[in-house]
Amino acid sequence: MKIERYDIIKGPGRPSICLGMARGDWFSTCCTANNFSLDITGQTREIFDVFDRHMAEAGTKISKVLFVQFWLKNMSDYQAVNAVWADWIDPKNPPARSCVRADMAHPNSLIEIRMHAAR
Amino acid sequence: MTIERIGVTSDYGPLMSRCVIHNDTVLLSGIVAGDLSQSTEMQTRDVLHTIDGLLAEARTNRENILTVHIWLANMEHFQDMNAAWNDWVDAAAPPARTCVSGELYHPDCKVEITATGVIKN
Repeated sequence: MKIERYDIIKGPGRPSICLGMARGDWFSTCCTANNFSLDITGQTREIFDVFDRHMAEAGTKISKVLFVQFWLKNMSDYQAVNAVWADWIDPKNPPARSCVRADMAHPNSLIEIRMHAAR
Repeated sequence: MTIERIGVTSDYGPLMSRCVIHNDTVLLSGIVAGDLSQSTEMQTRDVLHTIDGLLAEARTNRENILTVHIWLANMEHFQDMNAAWNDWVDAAAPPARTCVSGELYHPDCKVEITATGVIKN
């Protein structure tokens, strides 16, 4: 089965990675926000926008999201992230999820999210 | 391709499914204990009991777990968690497992566990 890659990242000071991968009916993507000057709501929305774009490219959609792992720099941002989550998910098909605190690679990065979806 | 969602709840704040089945693959949310006043060991026993129930609802069991990821609020309690784990796990068919420390959603929450498994035909 072919492996598809979405958003290949490379360049000085950056890890060579791809953000999203798909194979068969399985799709997974993970990223931080691009604009670290945004607040937690803005960073979370920006990540979900990337996920929406990847899902569209991969031929899947929000109702097929299976699992989402959140890493928050500050657990005090939990409610703000959940508000963006509530706007993003399909309430008829809520994904499984987990949310923990962790240090981020960049000092102004507030959140990193991984998502697994079917397609 | 089929997706089935089990244990849909907003009891913990955000709307989520505690278990999602994709074809024959089972994915569990981060499961936490019901009584957060308990010790790490007792919270772990509670979480593993909940996982048993979710796996049963998903028509599988602990023998068919593939991976387990454990988040401990305090890594000093690693052996306490392991005591509960070793009492629970199928020693003939143990899952692949990782364990790291991380602050959890509630200050009294001492352990959170996610898992993936399969449904055997």
